[in-house]
Amino acid sequence: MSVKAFANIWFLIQKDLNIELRQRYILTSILLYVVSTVFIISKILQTVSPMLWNAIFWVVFIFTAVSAMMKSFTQEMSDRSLYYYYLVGPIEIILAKFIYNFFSLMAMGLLLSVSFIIFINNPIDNYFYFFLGVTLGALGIGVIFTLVSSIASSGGNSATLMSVLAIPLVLPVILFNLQITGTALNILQDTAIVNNISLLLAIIGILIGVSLFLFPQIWRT
Amino acid sequence: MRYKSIALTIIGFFYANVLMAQSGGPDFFRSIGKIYVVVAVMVATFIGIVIFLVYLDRKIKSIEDEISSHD
Amino acid sequence: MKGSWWKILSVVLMLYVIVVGFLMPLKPGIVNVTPQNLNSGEEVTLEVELYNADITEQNKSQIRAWLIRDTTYILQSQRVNVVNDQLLEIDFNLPEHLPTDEEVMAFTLVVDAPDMGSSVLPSGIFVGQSGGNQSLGAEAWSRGGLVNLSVYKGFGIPYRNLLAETLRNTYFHVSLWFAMFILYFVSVIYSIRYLRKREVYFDQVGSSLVEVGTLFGILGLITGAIWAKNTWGTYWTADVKLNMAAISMMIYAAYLVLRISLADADKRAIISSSYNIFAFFIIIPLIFVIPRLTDSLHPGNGGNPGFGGEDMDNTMRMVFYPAILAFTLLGLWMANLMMRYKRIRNKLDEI
Repeated sequence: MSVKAFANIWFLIQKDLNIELRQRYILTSILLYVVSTVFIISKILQTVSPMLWNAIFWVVFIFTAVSAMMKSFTQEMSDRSLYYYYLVGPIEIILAKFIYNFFSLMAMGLLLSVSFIIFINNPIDNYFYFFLGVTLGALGIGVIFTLVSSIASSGGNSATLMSVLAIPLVLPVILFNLQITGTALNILQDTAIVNNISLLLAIIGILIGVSLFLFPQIWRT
Repeated sequence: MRYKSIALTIIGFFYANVLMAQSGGPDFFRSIGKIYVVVAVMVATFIGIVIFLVYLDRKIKSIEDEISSHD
Repeated sequence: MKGSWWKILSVVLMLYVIVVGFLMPLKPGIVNVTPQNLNSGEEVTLEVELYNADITEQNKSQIRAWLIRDTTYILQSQRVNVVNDQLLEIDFNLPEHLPTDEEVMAFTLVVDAPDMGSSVLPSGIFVGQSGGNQSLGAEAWSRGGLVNLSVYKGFGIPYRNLLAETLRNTYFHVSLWFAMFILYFVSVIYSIRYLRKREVYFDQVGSSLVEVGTLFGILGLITGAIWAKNTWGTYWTADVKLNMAAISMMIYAAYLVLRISLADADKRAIISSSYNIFAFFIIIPLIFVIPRLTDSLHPGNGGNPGFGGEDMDNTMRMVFYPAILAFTLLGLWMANLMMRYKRIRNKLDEI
């Protein structure tokens, strides 16, 4: 990959960020979504055990990610960004999308963790494992959602399609994340942690490989 | 009509299961070295294939109707 | 009829699987022993219920039985009394001490008769003691030896406790999953070809294969549930392998939803083909990798031997491999019919 490709990727990421910042309602709506959801959960469940904390965390994570991704893609296709896409190759587009979505999900995950800690409680025992879990979750979910939203957006009515397609595909990644953050919350023994992390990385690697193969095919339409 | 027959087959199958469990106790399926479990598994597989056939039958019927209305 | 040899082959193989799969007898095994909890130093009579035992006038007097632990500690029975051809009364003279300091020790019961082979109840007899002496126990338990074990004459599949005759379900339940996976694999090849060539024929084949594969997967879940109910006691448990199978089915259920939710044929073809490829690569680790690395009740996974262990011997392979082929060919046939329907449908829509 040449220097030009990196420059193109960087350019696309900047462009996405610009759009995101310009349309401030997306960011604020996600912020509001996260905070109000966590607030409601904390009001309904007065005391939350670590196991429940772990489960609710990932459920909220998935649904926030779905709504965030849906918003980012519906504005995508109506935008003049189609013109930029004309200029660069499909591999560069998908890589830029991966990186951008990874960082936005990462930010969302951190926001979610902070609001969980503030509004509910803080059962985290091992911060390193916890943030590793969140990072890998953002990476895995980001990769799957990027490809699925690109599939769904070429299908027209993307909003409903997106949630139908993405949630079953995301389950395996979530299962590993549950175990990794479960270890961080001291629910599970850390005997299998290295195994879990390496397997999750392997799955993410396969997914990235398949996406790099598939995206150019989808892109032709 | 066909939906009804499929539904009836499925209900009948489960009903038979429940009946067997009640009349013979839990031991009917476990008698003679649990051979009836194998029978149940085969029946389930067969019913699955029949459901596929009925589904395909309905689809082909719709094509036939369309063709005959063309003529 | 020229191009349909494989359809005939699928039917012939399926008949072979059903007939031979049912006719092959189970080797003799021990169903039940009472009592199972014994105390050291006592003389006990065990009532041993056999399954498929072949006790005749000739070998009646030569039945022998042992309580063993890891083939180092062996105790031979005093007397074997044949009540009827499925029930034995076996007398044991248990020594005062056990070869351990612990309160209870599990032993394996072995019953052996000429031409019948030896039947084993693994770790099914528990002997308790109060205040043991390990060295005396070790000495007392080492007097006997397993000698001249007979070999089962004839064809038979192994008797497994709890499973018994349901071992034959392997031919259906496991083969369905294998066939499902093969059908999905072939469908991925057609999906890739569709994305390259954009010919609607490839999409018709690929989607038909996925539909039949998903039917097989659902049947795999149902047959597994029936089997589990009668061996584990519940239709469903939160086991890794079961969860992964359920997730795979959800992924492919989403595929079916996807196909019916899109009206435009070209869009449907492109989207579902790419989704199919993506889904297949997600379910490979789900079904084949993850369950092997964690503890699972299901055979073939962590801590549980599946194929190649004692569950599957060469006589079973004689039926099991043809069964996989039979279900795969049957699935291909079903997918072929579905594909032909779709082709006609497409032609009609074009008119």
